[in-house]
Parts: sequence; structure tokens; C-alpha cells
Amino acid sequence: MALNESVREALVASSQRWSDQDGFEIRAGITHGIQTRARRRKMLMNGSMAMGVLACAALGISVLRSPGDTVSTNAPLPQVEPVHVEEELRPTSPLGQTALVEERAQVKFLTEATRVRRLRPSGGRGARANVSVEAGAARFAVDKRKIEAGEAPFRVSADDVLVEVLGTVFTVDRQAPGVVTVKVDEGRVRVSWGADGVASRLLEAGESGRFSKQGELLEAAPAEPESQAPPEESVTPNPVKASAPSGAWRQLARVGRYDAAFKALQRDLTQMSDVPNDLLLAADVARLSHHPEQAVAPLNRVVTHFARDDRAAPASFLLGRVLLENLGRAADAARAFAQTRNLSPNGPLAEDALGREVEALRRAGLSAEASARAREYVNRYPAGARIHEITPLAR
Amino acid sequence: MDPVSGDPVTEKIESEDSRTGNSRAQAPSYEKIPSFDELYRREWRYVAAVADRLMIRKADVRDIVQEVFIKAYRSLDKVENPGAIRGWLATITVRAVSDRLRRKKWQQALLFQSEQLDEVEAEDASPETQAELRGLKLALSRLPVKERIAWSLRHIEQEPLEEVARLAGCSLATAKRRIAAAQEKLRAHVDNTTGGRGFGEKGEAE
Repeated sequence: MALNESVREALVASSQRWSDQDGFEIRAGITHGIQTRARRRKMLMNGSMAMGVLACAALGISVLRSPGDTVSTNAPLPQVEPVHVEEELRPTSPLGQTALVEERAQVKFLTEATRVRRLRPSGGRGARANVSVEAGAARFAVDKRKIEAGEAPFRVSADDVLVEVLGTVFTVDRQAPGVVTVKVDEGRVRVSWGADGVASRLLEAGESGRFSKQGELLEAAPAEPESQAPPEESVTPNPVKASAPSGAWRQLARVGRYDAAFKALQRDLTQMSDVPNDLLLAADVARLSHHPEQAVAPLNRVVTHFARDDRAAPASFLLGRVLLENLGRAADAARAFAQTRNLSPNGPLAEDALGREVEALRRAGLSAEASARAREYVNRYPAGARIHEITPLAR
Repeated sequence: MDPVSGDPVTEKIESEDSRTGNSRAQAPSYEKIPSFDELYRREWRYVAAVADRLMIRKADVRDIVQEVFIKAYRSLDKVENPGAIRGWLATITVRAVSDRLRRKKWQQALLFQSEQLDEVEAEDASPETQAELRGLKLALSRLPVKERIAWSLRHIEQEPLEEVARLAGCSLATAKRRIAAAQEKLRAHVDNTTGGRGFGEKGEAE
């Protein structure tokens, strides 16, 4: 025998923790996979039999176009096969239920892998949809209590529009290419659009709106932009400028001209929108133009006001590094690293954050806390990258 | 049997038949080739559990189960022996996991990353066992994929050596060699990290 039986038993026990809901969702993904492959085969066969080389090329361009892109009136549209659905509510996720409300509605349940591949629409890097409305209209009902309890966010994508559920009953209708109608019956949702997801609008109960990837709000019912509390420190993002056009500072930053970007941003801080993308870019601009103190506010803003965003934990980690390495604020850095772990206890940064928290506490002269965190590190990560450095501190 | 034209979204995932994810010894008996829906209901937990025990992340397990059953859907009409269905699924699963691990290793090498591991979910186990399990996962993640698969099939799935060779798609001698190589590396890892008090004992003569 080469494996302790107790370890094997624990492993076997942990491998059994699959719920009926898991089985349901996986089954939906299988059906979609089979449908997709069948459709591809059918398209390939049709194409090879009926069309010449030029016609095939035209079809290929049409089918491979990005969702929401302008569609030529002469180009053939990809056909969406109707799927029979029932009217009753059916569970789609532990967070809620879905009802498909019309005959041709087609909803795709996204797995972790397909979410990673489907970067757009994303509502920004990391904010990925759980469910995609491929065609028609689908009505969703999501348990508000679970959303408020901080469980995984529930997001629905349709074309280049992303709907983030904030505890509600709502309908997403994708009737025409590139245009998505969202109607809220109860609660509220945040709708964002475009590849960067920099623009968003909050829809309350009774409101509806039509959205496209260009950020146009076509015939939208009245809705107030989401209000945000002002930031604490010196770099002040514009809280209502959620759909600002790209400014010069962004373009300068994206080509690595951080000094020029910083100057451009300082000239008019209202260029910066109060969204994670801009806040993180502003932090990078400040940090890489040798103004680390100016990176603190936007990073803090992401951590405190966008805590459910996937980028909150990396922002908190970066904040800890800036505070520790650039500003010498070790105690504050320790809190930032602790926050990183709170935001994402099992995330890829958790181990490193705990190691750096030990280091920050030690530098801050907080020996007892440093020892406690060091013991936690040794216990949780016995083969961790910093184990040799941290083990002596655990004693 | 046509899950495409049916309505799988409304299908009830029956629990009782499919709670046999533990081992092939507990395989349900099939008197005839089942429909695809029945196959899924009765076997998805087994496929998920095997993939899970081969130490891939939970998120990847879901994709593996999908991949396995999509392949099964395409080939179910070619299966002749109902008694071999679970073994057939195990083979597809092991190969799907191997492919995924190889792809990940390659991607990680390009990005200079190490494999991300899930937290150990074994609340009922003692802290020592949980620590050993964490160490085992970490050590296995550092093995070459072929050795990792062979060792896991032998010592976690407790498959006979002949079956390890069949599932891994290699000769018996190669399977033995991979298990022995994995055991040696695991032992070295344990000695380095726990002073030899870890999960492994002296391996059997393979």
C-alpha cells in the first residue's frame, strides 16, 4: 500500500460532493455541445455542396463576425435553430431560476471554460456571464437573498450587453442582431455594454431599456445612473461619467507613455470614469509614472466599491504592494493583503497575500500578529513558496 | 435516443441511480445498452468523481464530464457489451483528463505559472489528514502527466495493474515504470516537506 487509507478516504469523500444541480447544469452544457457540433457539421456540409469558393468565403465571414457587429444586408445571417421549451420555471443555477418565455428562445449555460473563452461581452475583464441568451427572450428570476449574501454573481449576456443581477425578476430579449431589450419586473439589474464594459446603467423595477454594443441607449425608459459614494483620497473619479469616451490619457497609458498619461489625467480628472477598468488603469498610470501615492485612491476605490468584481482581490493585492514597497506603510499594507484573502479566500493570490501579510506585519513591528499569520501560512501551505522564510516566524 | 431533439433542460436528474461515484465495483448493471439519458443519469456522478480524484480543479471537472458524455453520445451505438459500459466511460474520462492536464502544463510553461489547486474539501477529515491531502495534491501536480495518471489510477482508484495499463493506453511494463517513477518522486517530495511523515509509505514492488 502506498497511500494512507485515511487520505484516500478523505479524497474519495471529497470527490462525491456533486449535487443534482451540478448534474442539471452539466447536462444542459452537453446538450448545447451536441447541438453546436451538429450545427457546425450541417453548415459545413451545406457549404461544401451548395456554394463555390467565393460564396463559402462570404458565408464564413458572416458566421464568424463578432456578435453585435454591423451586419451587411447582403450577407446571409447565421440561422438559430428553434428549441422547444416549456413555460414553467426551471432551475438554472443555485442562485435562481429561469423561464424561457418564447418558443424560439435559446439559452446557453456557460461553464468555467466557456466563460473564459467568451471574453465579450464581459462588463470588463473578469466579469463574465453565467448564462447567455443566444436568441429570443428569456425571463429570469434570481433569489435576492443569495445575491446579497455575497454568493457568486449571476450574469446574463446577450450580444454585447451584459446584465448583472442584483436580486430580481427580469427579461432579456434578443430579437434583433446587436440590440437587446432588458425589462425588469422586480428588484434591479445593472446593464453594461461594449467590449470593455465601461458603460453601465441601473434599471429598477418597472423600467426597461434597449441596448447595443455602441453604448447607445435606444428608446430606454428613464433610469437614474447608479450613485456612488465619493472616494476618500486625492484622485477623484467622476462618479456619474460612466460612459465617457476614451480619453487621451488612456491611449497614452496603453502605449506605455505613463508620464504623459499622468499629466493628461491630472489636467482633467473628470476624464476618468468610476468603473474598475479606468480605476485600475489610473492606478497603473500613477504607479508607473513614479507617483505611487496617487495609485492608492483608485485601488482603494475598486476594493471598497466593487468588492464583488473579480478584479477587487488583485486590486487589493496591488494596493498592499504599493503601500509596502513604495510608501513604507507596512500596517496599511498588511490590512490590504488581509483584504485580498477576504475577497478571494481560495484565489490564486491567497497564498502570496498571506505570505506578504506576514512580512508587512513584521515590518510594522506587530510581532504577535505576524507570528499568528505565519502559523496560519505554515498550516495552510506546508509546501508554499515562502515556507522556508516564514517557518522561523511561526515559532 | 436523441438528446438534441428532446427536452433535456426539463429532464429530472434522478439521484438514486447516479450516486455510485465511488468505484467501478459499484457499477450499475446493464442488461442492455442504455439510452443516452439513462446513461447520463446513472453515470455522471461516477465520471465526475473519477475526474475529481485525478486531481483536476472542480471547474475543469464539469468540462470533462461534458466532454466525456458528448463523446459517449457519438459512440454509444458502437458499444456492444453492456457490462463494459463503465469501463468504457472510465477510459474516455482518463484520456480527457490526460489531454486537459497536458494542455494546462503546456500553457503554464508558456506563462511561467504553477498549477492552481482547489482547496481541500474534506471537513470530516482530521487536520493532519487534510494537510496530507493538500500535500498529496501539490506533489501530484508537479509530476509528469503520464506518471500522475498512472499513480492515481493505481493508488487512488485502486485499479489492477493491467487495468491501469489499459486505461492509460500503454503496456503493462510501461505502466509499472510510470507508477514506480511517480512513487519515487512523491517520496522525495514528502521527505522534503514533511520529514518523511507524509502520505506515502514504502511502495509495493511493482
